[in-house]
Amino acid sequence: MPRSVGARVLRHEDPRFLTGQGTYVDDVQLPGLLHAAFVRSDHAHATLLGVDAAEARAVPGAHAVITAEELEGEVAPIRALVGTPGYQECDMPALATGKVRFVGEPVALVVADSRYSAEDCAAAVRVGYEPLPVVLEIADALADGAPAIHEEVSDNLYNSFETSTAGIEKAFEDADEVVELELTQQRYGAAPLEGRAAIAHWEAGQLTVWLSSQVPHIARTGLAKFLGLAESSVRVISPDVGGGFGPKCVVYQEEVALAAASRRLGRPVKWTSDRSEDLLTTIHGREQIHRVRAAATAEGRVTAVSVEILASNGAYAPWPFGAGLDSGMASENVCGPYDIQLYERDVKAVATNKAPMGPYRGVGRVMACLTIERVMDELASRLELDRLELRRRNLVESFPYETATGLVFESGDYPRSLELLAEAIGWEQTSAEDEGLGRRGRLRGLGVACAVEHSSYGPQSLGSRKMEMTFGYDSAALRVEPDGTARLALGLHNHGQGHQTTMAQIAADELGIDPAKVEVAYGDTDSAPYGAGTWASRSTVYCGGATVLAAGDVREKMLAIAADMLEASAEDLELGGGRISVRGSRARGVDFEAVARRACHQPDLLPDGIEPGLESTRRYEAPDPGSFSSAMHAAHVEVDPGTGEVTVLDYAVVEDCGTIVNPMIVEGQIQGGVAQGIGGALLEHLVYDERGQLVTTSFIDYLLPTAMEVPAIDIVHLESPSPNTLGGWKGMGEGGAINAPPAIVSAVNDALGRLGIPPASHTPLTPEWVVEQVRAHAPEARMEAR
Amino acid sequence: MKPPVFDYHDPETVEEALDLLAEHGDEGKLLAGGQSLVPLLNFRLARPENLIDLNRLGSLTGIRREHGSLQIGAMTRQSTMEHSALVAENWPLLTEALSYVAHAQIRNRGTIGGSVAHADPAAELPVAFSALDSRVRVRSARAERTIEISDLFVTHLTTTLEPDELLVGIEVDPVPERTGHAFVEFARRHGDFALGGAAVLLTLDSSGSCERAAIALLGAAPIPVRATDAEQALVGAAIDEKAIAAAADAAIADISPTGDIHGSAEYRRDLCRVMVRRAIAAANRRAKGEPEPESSNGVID
Ligand SMILES: Cc1cc2nc3c(=O)[nH]c(=O)nc-3n(C[C@H](O)[C@H](O)[C@H](O)COP(=O)(O)OP(=O)(O)OC[C@H]3O[C@@H](n4cnc5c(N)ncnc54)[C@H](O)[C@@H]3O)c2cc1C
Repeated sequence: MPRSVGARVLRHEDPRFLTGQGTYVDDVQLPGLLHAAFVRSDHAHATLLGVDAAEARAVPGAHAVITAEELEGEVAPIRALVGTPGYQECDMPALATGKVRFVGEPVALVVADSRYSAEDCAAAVRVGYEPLPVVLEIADALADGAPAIHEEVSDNLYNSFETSTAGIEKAFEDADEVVELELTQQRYGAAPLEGRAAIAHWEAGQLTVWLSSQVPHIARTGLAKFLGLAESSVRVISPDVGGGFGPKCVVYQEEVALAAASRRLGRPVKWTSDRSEDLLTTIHGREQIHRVRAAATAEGRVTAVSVEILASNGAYAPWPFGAGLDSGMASENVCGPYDIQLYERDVKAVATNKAPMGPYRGVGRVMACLTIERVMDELASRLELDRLELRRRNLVESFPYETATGLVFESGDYPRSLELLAEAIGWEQTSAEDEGLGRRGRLRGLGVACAVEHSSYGPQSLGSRKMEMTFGYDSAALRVEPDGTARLALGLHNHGQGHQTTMAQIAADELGIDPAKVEVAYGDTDSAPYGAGTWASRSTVYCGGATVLAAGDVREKMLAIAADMLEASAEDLELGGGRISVRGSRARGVDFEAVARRACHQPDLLPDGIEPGLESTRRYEAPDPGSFSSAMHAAHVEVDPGTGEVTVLDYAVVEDCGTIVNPMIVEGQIQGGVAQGIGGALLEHLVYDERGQLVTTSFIDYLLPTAMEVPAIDIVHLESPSPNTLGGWKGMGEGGAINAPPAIVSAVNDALGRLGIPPASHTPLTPEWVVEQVRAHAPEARMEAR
Repeated sequence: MKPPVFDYHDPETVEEALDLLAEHGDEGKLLAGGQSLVPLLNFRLARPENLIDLNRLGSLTGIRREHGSLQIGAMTRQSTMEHSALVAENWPLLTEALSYVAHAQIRNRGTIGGSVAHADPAAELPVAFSALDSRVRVRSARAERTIEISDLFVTHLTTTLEPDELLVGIEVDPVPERTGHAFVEFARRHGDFALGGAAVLLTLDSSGSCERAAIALLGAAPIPVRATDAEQALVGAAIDEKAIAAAADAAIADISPTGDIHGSAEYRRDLCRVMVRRAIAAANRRAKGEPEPESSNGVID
């Protein structure tokens, strides 16, 4: 029987989405529904003098104006607990209390008949502020005597730690080459098509929250905790979610305040963020500074890396992950796919008066990749080696390979990946052509970036972060109905990953049926088995593993029943094509449905010792420390020296995520990730002005790449199954976003290098930056008419 | 992002619309394609008490040639003009300018009159109409008048239209023989408002020298501006690299664009020079009937 795993099965969710039949939180209508709007701080840092709601309460349609004062005793501040040494926790009140710490922070919640009147009402709330000095840049936050953003967070350091491998100094002393670079990365974010949205409905002592969330169970835990409720009296329903990318993994102030409002008013209350609110307050990503030193031999072998990592974590630490995530994960991955055993890091997560920073596709690792890839390019240029050759000399070659930070790459073929990448982009020929064009004034360049993607973190790996919860397992509940339909309920969520399809494929293969016969459910904490949702590329390994286990139980039972029906021995039977039959003789078999019917409807005919029904719920713990996909990207760009425009002409990716469940879905993940990476490299920037006002509060100014800015991507698959995970899978949802910025930086540097322009070590590479470089280093190239 | 309360009117005749305008004056706002106005309402940057919807006024739509001149009804959709063979053949500068306006979906709603009346200095059509020395036809309950495009724009989002006046159409004179056109701009993404651009019309004499030049700049000032010094520098000259460079330098001599996060004033000024160079070169090529060069990345939707 052809297996479904590995096939390009069309996505089961697409007919619903493509015909506008999806149900998002904003589509949910309830009797008596009220609408919320938030009064938000327009100061980056200020003492709150008072909130005057008298005029607002008189606005037609207004039901309530709720301030922090009114929530006192009703809700507890959100507080991410992190027990690692060097970490400092802080409170995040549901509504600003005492002072405000970033522009957009919710100060009061307004409830009205419609969103229109809610906004009228919010506009009538008067808030008094006494401005405090604003701390925006990392350097300002770390300066002596810098204003404290939180009393509890001394030196504005949420997190600070150092590690060092013995012998590293000697490696620097003995080095033939030492590369030193400072790299900077802007703030940018996920900007999902569907912004955040929630409906809170308090009814008969029970809270139901429809939430655009990647993590319904985790959200339930958080909401229960901050509202002082038992976890079992809270139900979270995350219906279709229009993109998550990380920021919908945390519990936000608005959600807690909204639930408190519903409890107070006894009516359901909806809040759908508008684009400005989303850009202002939904977790931002990135914004790091790395200062790296790398030691190397004359042959180009990197022997040691030392890095200082600084992250601008903004005004609060998101729950439940805390503020140590980006910088910590960056620091684990700086050495990339390269064999560098001597490593030292000094890591700081810094409080600033900007929106909180937290999980966004490729957490921390985008910057880690930029850092090591810039080191590689720099070294190649100094040693006059081809950039691919230099990397080849440093790649990890044998597996398992334990890194300097304790990660264990379990399988792969990195040199082969690089070879395939060179073929896919036509490295040698394109380089030669670009050089020729360069002599005629056309600036084209090639770039490369390689990364290993740590995914599906194992329980010990997560446990070492000492958070409130260790999300080290996930669940699958499989039930075969009497008609042979398999119903699979999972602890994951699905917001673009195609889990409704891939999980059906996995279950279908275990049961020998068509994936169309598998219905996949998730997202409702009342019906889905307990799980940690979808983030960190965990779901295929975690829920796929649990599905294999649950489906295996059901399969064994069905084989036993079929054996009885066929008067054969279970060992001689096989499943496939919707039948259970004697191996090699399809005719001597029974239909899958017939076995299902017997198990559910005819207990009298079941063999002794077989309990009726076909159901199993299983948990799966991913292997520690996780699974490790590799991705190698090459970009080909053209730079216009007159305008500074960078056009991505071609893009190639070699991805190895172990056994592939559905190549089309893997390719979709890569496409989307690369698009976000192109945004990060060239366009996207959450810009604050000197007073801490976010300037980019709409899609006029926050520039997401569109289909016009993203080239077709040539994707090559390599499959090195993981020996550790069930199914051989490795998570892979983030690699696209990780490698693309460094690959494009590398390509732009190659192109501009033709004019003698020193290489960039930052993103985004804006038209203005390009033009400044050309004007400074090669003014004659400016005016070439094209 | 919801507008404050307003009253909505949807007149069926121009006369009715004019009466409503006369009645509400400063408190009334005309709604054409809504592609600029509705965002302003939702951001509460505009708070009119009355919206007067022009979408039922069929008499304001359509593209015709009358006595050689182009007549465009104010409510003509941008996409209609984009696909007009009459325009493409005789006023190709307009067709080229439209290819840079926003995205197809927006051009399906956005109108020619709305774009002109909105007076965004980064909008393409006002710049193209400036290069073409167009006129706008305006009516109120009081009177009817024609305004030269050079007298229309006052500053960013402001025109010389009175609060009770309706822009009913735009007139463009025929373009002389041996004229080459070019509309060139640079935006950070395809379809965004440009950081800078230029519209150029060059008419050559039989010897190939420049007989007449029109150069209008996009994003160079709070309104579309004509680079008259640069135009004069070209007239009578053979269009070579040197002449182009001199004209481009002259074009930006007096401009001071406003900078923002996408490009400083300095960057934009310099960009205008690059755009003028490229536009003159392209218009010259076209005037001479030379083939179009292979474009490196100019994908246009
Ligand atoms: C995402 C996006 C991108 C865009 N990009 C571009 C771009 O790159 N280039 C560009 O040029 N435009 C761009 N636009 C704007 C678009 O072209 C608008 O359609 C145009 O500017 C206004 O036309 P409208 O018909 O939509 O006018 P409306 O939005 O309805 O009205 C605009 C203004 O003009 C007034 N008005 C309209 N018609 C008349 C009339 N007949 N008489 C008097 N006053 C009138 C209105 O009262 C209002 O003040 C973009 C819009 C969007 C949403």
